[in-house]
Amino acid sequence: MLKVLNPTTGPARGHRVLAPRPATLDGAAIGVIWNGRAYGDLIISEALDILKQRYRIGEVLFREKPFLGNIAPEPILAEMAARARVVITGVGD
Amino acid sequence: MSNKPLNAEQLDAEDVYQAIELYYERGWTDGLPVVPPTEKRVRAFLDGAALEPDHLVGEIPERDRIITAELLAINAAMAGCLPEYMPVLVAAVEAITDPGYKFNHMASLGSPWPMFIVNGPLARELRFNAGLYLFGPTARANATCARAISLLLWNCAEARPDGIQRGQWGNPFRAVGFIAEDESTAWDPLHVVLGHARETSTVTAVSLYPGLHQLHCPRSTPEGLLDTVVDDLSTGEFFRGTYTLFVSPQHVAVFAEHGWTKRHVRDYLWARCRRSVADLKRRGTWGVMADRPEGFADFTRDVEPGDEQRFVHLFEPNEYDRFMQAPGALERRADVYVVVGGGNAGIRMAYVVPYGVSSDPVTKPVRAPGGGTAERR
Repeated sequence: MLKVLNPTTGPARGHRVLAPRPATLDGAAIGVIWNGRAYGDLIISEALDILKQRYRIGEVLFREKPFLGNIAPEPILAEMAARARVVITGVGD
Repeated sequence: MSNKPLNAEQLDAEDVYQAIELYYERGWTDGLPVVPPTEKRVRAFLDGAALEPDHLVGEIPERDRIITAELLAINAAMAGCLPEYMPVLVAAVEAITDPGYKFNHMASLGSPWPMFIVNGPLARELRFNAGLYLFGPTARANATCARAISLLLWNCAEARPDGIQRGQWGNPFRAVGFIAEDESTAWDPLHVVLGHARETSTVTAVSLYPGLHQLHCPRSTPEGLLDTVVDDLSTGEFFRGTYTLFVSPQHVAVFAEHGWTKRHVRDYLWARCRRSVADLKRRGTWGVMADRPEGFADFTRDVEPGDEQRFVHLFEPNEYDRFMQAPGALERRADVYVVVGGGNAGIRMAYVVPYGVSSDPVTKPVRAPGGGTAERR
């Protein structure tokens, strides 16, 4: 008999946690960080239209990352943290 | 030697052969059999770097994953490494989890994968191949260290085709992209050029598109040799970034005879690699994203008067970077790393193309077991 080890790992639970999910988007400010990918802004706009049909969403903060391969600059992240209830980001192709 | 308990789940297998099959069944291997990692074997790897099992080697925030020494040791043992390789593997993981490397680019359709270049005395002590058949397969150190990083990211960062690896063609460097530089020539090795002491051992990670470009360079002057490289780079992918050029010791002798250093080589390529706007338009890649065409059917732009005489320089921040659609593209570095290798028997040079969007190369010193940057072990 041989004992061997599992080489995998899952998410570092407790290390980073998801923010609480809002029960409704009524009145919520929606942040958007478009990563700059071509047509991503169009797809996000479609998503916003769907949200507008379902909820009475508040203001929309639409921002573009300077470059898709880099993390969004601190001012954009700080603005989202301060003003947006939820943030839509991450469009690939 | 650490007595701390390991965190990994233990699984029972009747014998080695059943254990090998178990890793296939669980999807924990890349298609090749693994060396079954027992606790005794994994502890030898931790001792190889004098690390506790829970030592944090690197973090991948994008995947919310933490790479501990134990996870690295398990995957390195599976890959067939020797325990002595652990300090080099630790430096390799530190390099690709450095923020400058920008791990998130690894999910690209372009199939980027890091090539690792080992410099300094450890490369020779651990018998990394820096000579003939550089990209192998040749030496155990090269082959198993490449596989160790591949398995680690396969098992701990979902870097597999059914996970985050969305590359179109895949990347052979995943199996062979761990090499050393031949440091026996007149030229300073890469880590010295980058500011490290010659006696320090380092690992440099460079994110690459798949493919090694081999060039027949029969001429006998520095300019003659490099004009072939200029020609190829100027008509290739033409993405700004840090290219790595591989030069054989035989060619180094030609350059050195004419007083050329690696810096001269870099500057020569920097000044001459260029392409006309007309060529880029004919290729269909001029203004692809910036112009936001309707649909992806045809990006071709008409060649206008003056385009034949208008040039874009590969290594300079340039107008063509608008292809990558954002001013931030200009922030990434451009350079030429010159690395000696490939043995003394050929008249071919070779180069590799960097992942052209965001990743920058990262170099990390190899720490000796027990701390400190190793001069020697």
